[in-house]
Amino acid sequence: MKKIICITCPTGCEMEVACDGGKISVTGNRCPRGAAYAESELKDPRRTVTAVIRTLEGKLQPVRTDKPLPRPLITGLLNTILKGTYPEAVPGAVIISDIGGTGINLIAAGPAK
Amino acid sequence: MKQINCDVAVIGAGGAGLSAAAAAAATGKKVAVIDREESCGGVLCQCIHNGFGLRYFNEELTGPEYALRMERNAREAGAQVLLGETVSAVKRHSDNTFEATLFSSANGVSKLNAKAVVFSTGCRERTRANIAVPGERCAGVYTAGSAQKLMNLTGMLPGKRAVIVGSGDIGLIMARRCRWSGIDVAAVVEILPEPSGLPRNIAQCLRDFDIPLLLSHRCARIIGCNRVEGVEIENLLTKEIISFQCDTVLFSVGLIPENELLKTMGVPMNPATGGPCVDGMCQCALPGVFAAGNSLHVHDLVDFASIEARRAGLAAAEYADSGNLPDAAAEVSCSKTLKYAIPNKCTPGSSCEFFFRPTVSCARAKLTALADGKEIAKKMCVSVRPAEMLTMKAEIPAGSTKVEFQLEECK
Repeated sequence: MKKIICITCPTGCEMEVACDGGKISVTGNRCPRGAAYAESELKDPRRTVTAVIRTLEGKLQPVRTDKPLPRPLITGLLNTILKGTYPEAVPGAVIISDIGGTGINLIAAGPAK
Repeated sequence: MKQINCDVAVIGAGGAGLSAAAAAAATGKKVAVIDREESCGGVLCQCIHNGFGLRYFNEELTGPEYALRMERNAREAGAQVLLGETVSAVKRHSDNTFEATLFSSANGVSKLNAKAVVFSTGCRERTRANIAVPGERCAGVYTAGSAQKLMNLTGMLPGKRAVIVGSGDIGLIMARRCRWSGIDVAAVVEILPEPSGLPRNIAQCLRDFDIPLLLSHRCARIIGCNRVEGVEIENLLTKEIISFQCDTVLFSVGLIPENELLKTMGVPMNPATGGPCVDGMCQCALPGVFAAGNSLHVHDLVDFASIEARRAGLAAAEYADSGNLPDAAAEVSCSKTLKYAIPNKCTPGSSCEFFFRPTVSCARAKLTALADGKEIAKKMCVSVRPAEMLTMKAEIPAGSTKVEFQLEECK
């Protein structure tokens, strides 16, 4: 039995997750997204990463991953973007594609300033 | 001097102001929304994390993305956006119209004439001075929001090792932002026995990084002369003092609605919220003056501020048309288990949405609305905490004079 707080929405359901053999049962969630999050949290925890990047012109641009990224890949991604400079992108455009072969992209999440 | 004429002026182009402007402009009114910054969005621009928009747009967005959508909505509805303009005064003329004085480097002093004004000026942070923490005035002491601005809008780091005082959402978000930027976070210190931020931020901003959360602890002293060298943290239960070495202290100790302009106009204020007293249409006691968003009361989510502001924008447009709104004759009050109920007055014979801030924490509670002693609405609330706003919609019966809300814990 593991207690997990759902991070999918601001409600933050406190869930209990039990793993019986290969079968996972979730209680305490108020919607199906909670059960999906709990299962993912047990098997392959992921987080949406947000940061700012430096553009070639020296501006700052907010970025995020377009899907939650496996947690073990987060530090590597942050180190990469900390060192690099990138062409200014329109919001929504891909800046780094297919992070670590996951199919997840880093996208511009607002105008560069 | 430049003169601008409009039906509805909206002061502040953040998550509330842009929503009010879009709603008012969609009715065909001439709307101007003014902001002192060079871009729309207010504090959303520095909130680069995700978690916005689930209620308003049914989609999870970052702060800048939420701001962009709101700005596009306001512009597409036909609102004029005036950026880089600071409003220094708003006057109400004897013919009930308003005159705002604006200034900017680009245009000097301008006058903006409007039939109705929406104030959506947001809030500012409480600082170290508000909670009177002893110690030298050394460098390295920031509010969480100013450190956030430094990191996300200028690309500078506030220090190398931080202690965060206060467990509000901004403090929690900054704990993760620090760790993701290579800044160590020694601890988050909370004076109350429970965290002030959302549970999901405790999970994803503290637990993910094994950052200790010290409940019932306070920051007793800041050590250091030129630069912060550490903090003394007192355990309020045992009185024991723990010292932490750090070069940075971030304060996330609450927000103060920013209402300097409204106060100079003599608008009655609500001591429980720090904002003005309003009716169900977000109208202040001065006709034609409306308030919405964090300057009315501090919201948990920008989505709620935008939803509230839509109502203010629509009401301001209607006032600009007709010069009056239905009389809000019913007085609103609440039990001691609620810090406040907003609005303070509502219109009998109409539907009204109320916001509450509980003073108690409990697993389950019953929220009841009474009109002149008779129950008109009720709902069950789960995991009630002061950190989370409650809402309720109620039909106010015609002829009501008093509406009272009661929050009772269920055993």
